[in-house]
Amino acid sequence: MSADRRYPLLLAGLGLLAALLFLASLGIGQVWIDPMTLTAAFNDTDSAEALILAEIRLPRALLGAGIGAILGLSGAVLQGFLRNPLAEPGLLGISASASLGAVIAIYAGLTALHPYALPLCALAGALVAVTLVQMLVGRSGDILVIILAGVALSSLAGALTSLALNLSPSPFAALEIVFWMLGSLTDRSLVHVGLALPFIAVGGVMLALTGRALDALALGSDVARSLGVNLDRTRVLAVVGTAIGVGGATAVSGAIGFVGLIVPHLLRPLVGHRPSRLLPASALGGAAFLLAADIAVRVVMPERDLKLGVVTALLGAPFFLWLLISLRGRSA
Amino acid sequence: MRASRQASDARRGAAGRVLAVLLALALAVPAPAALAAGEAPRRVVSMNLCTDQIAMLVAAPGQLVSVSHLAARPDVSLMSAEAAGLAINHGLAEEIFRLDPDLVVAGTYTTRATVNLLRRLGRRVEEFRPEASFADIRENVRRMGELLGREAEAARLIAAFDAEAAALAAAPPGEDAPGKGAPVLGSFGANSYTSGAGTLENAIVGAAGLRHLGEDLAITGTTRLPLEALVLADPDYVLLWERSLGDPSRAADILRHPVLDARFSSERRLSADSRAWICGTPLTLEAVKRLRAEASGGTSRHREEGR
Amino acid sequence: MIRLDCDSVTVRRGARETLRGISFSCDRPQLVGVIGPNGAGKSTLMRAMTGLQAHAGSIRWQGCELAAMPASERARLIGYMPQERTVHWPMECIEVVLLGRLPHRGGVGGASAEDLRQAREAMERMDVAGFARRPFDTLSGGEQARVLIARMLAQAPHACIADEPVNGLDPAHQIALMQVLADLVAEGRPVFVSLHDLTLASRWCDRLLLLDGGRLVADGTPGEVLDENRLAGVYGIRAEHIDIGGRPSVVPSHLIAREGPR
Repeated sequence: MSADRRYPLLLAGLGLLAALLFLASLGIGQVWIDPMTLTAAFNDTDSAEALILAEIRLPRALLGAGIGAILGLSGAVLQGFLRNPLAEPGLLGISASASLGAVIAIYAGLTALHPYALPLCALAGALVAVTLVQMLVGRSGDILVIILAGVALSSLAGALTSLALNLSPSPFAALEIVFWMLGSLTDRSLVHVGLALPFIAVGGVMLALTGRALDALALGSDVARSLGVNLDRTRVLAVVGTAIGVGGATAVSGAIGFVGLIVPHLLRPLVGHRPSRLLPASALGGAAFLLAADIAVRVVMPERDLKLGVVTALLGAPFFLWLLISLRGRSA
Repeated sequence: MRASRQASDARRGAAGRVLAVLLALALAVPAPAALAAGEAPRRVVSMNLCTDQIAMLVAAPGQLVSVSHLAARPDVSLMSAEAAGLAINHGLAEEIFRLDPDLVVAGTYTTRATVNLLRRLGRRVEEFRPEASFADIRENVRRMGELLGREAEAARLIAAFDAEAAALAAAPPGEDAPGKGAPVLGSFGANSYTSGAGTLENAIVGAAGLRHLGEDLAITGTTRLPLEALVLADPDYVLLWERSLGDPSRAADILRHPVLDARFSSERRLSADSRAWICGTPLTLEAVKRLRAEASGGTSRHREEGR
Repeated sequence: MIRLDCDSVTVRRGARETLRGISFSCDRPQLVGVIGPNGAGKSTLMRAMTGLQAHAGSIRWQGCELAAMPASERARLIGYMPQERTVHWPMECIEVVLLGRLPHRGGVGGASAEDLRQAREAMERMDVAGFARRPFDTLSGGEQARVLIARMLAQAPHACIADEPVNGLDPAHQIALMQVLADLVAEGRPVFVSLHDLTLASRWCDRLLLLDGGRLVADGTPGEVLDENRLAGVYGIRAEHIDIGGRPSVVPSHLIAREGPR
C-alpha cells in the first residue's frame, strides 16, 4: 500500500509547496520591499506597498498558479490520452496556436468590441491545433509522428502570428512576437485574471473528469472500451478541455512551453504511473513550477523583463532531449 | 566525346556571355550626378522620420524629392501635410536607388544593410545621430543646412529656436523653480519603457521646469522601469505615452493597468503629443510649451500624503 | 445461463468484407475455440462479439442486441482480452488488475475494499499475487499474460473473450492458461478463445469455430471440425491424430503443395 499511502502525502506536499511559492511570489517582486512594510500594507490599503501587492503582485501570483496548473494538468491528460509521453501543449503547437488566436483578436481590434474576444479567439486557435494533433497522432503512438506534428503546427502558428503582427498598424506589434512565443506574466493585472481564470477553471474541470478513462486507456483503446469507457466523451473532454484551459491561459501569458512536459514526468513515478493520480499532482506541481520560474525571472534579472518561456525552455529543452534519448533506448 | 566537349564549350560560351552582360549592366548603373564642389544637391532623399522633418524645414522647394513613409503618417509626424506632396519611400535600397538621389540623408539607426548598399552603389549617404539634447537639435539643423546648401535658412531656424527657448526659460512655470524643488515627472511608455539622463525626453522635461524621474533613479538612456518601481517612486506627475491612442497592442496594455489609475489621480496624469517628442527638431519646443501648460494646471495641488 | 446469438454478422472494411454472414449460437458454458489461418477474421469476430466492432447483422447477448446495450452493462457482462499485451505506463500489477473493477465502480471514488479483495483473489488465482507491487514492464511475457487475465477475472464477467492469449508463452504457461480458461467454463461461463495452435485447440476446447476468408466454414466438436479435408482445404496441411488423455488431438505434420492461390 506504499504508493496509496504516499499519494495523499505527495498531494499535500505539492499543495504546500505551491502555497509557499505563491506567498513568495507576493513577497518577491521587481523591486525589493521589506516584508515588514509589506505586511503593514494589509492595514494601510492606500499605501504604495498595498497597491503593489493587490494590483501587481497578486494578479501575477494568481496567474502563475492558475496557468501553471492548467499547463501541468493538460500535459498529463494529453500524455494519458494519446499514450505518448511527449504530448504537451507547448511541444504540440497548441500554445502557439492559442497565441495566434490571441494576436488576431488583439490586432484585428476584436478585443475592443468585447474583452472576452481575447480568450475566446485563443481558445479557437487552441481547439484547431489540438483537434489536428489528435487526428494526426491519435491512432499511431509513434514518437516521431507526434514530434513532427508539433514542429509543423508550431512553425505554422509562429509564422502566422508573425504575419499578423507585421500587418498590424501598431508600431509595437512587430516586437511582440517574443512575448507570444515565449510568454510572460510581467505586469498583468486583475483584469487579466478575470479573463483567464474562468476559462482555466472550466478547462481544468473538464480535464479532471478524464482521469478514470485515462487509467483504462493504459491498456489500449479496445480494453478501455470493453471496460465501459466512452472514448468519444473522453476525447471531447480532453480536446475541448485543453483548448479552453490552454486558450484562456495563453491569451494573457503568451505561449509557455515545457511545463506540461517536465511536471508530469517528474511526478509520474511518484504516483505509481497511474494516469488518474497524475492529474491532481500535475496541476499542483505545474502551479508550483511556474510560480518558481516566475520568481526566478524576477530575481535573476528584475529590470530586463526576462521572458518566462526562456526559463521553462532552459530547463525543459535539455530535459526533452534526455527524454528522447531514454525513450529511444527503451524502444531499441 | 567530341560532341559533348562541343556542348560544354557552348555552355561555357553562354555562361561567359551572361557574365559579360551582367558586368555591362553593373557598369551601366547611372553614375551619381557629379556635383561640383560647393554645388547644392538637387535630388535629396531622406529615409528617417527625424531627418525627414529637419530636411522639410530646411530644404529649398523641389530640392527634397522623397521622405520616409513615417513622415506622412499623421500619428507620428508633425509634418504629414508637408510630406503629402513628396514621394514616399520605405527605406528600401532599390526604391531609393530608383529615385536617383544625389544625396541620401538617414538616421544612424537606419538599416545598416540599406545604407551600405546605397554607398556601394555610389550614392552619397549622410547619417544623422538622433538628437538627445537641444544642442543636438541645433547641430543637426546646422549640418542639414550645410549639406543642402541652405546655410542661411538653417541659421534662421536656429535663431528662432534659440529665441523661443530663451523666452521659455525666462518665464519659469508657476511657483516651482526648476532644480531641486521642481516637481518630479515619471514617464511610462509601452512595454514599461522610461527615459533618463542623456535623452531628448529628459531635456524637454527639464526645459518645462520639471525633474525627470529617470534622472532621480539614475537611469541613463531609455530602459525598462518595472511598474512596481514606478508606483513606489510615486512621482508628482506621470506621463503615460500613447495611453489615449487606444493602440491595440499588448505592449501598450500596461498603460491601462488598473494600478496606474489607483495610484495616480487624473490631475497627476499628464498627456503629451508624442509627435513632438519623437524627433528633436525646432518643433520640439511645442512639447515643452504643452508640458509646461499641463503641469502648471496642477501645480497648486497639495500633496495629500506626507512622504 | 448465458446465451449468445450471432446472426449474419458481417463486417466491412472499405470494400473488403472481413466477416461474411457469421451465424452461430452458444447457450451453455463452453470453451469455444475460434480457429482459422491468418486473416481469417478471428480478431474481428472477437471484437464484434465484445461490442468494439461496428457490424451488420445481429449479435445478441441474453437476447439483448449488443449495439443497444449500455456500455457499463456490457462491461459487466463481457470480459475482453486483446491480442497485444500492452500496458502503456509501467504501473504496478495490482493497479493493472484493479482496472478490471472499473465497470463496478460508481461515481468518482477510488477502489473500494471489495474491489481490492476481488483483484487480489484474481491475482492469487493466476498465481501472480507476488507481483502485486512489481511494475508491469518488469515482468516476463508469461507473467504479463497472467496479470492481464487476472485483470479480466477481476472484472467478474459472465462471459470471457480472449484473443490469442497463449501467443508467446512457453508450453507450461500455455497449458496453465488453458486450464484457467477451462476452470472459468466449469464455473458456468462461456469462454471464447482464438488460437493458432491446433493441438491446444483440439485438446482443450469443447467446440471449435473454424473461420476462413471471413466465413464460418465449420462449427462443432474438435473431432468434427478438424477432419482431414478441412485441414487440407483451409490450412493446406496434413496432421497426425493422436489421443491425449482420452481426447482426440491434432498435431499438424506436413504441408500440402497447393495448386494456385486459394
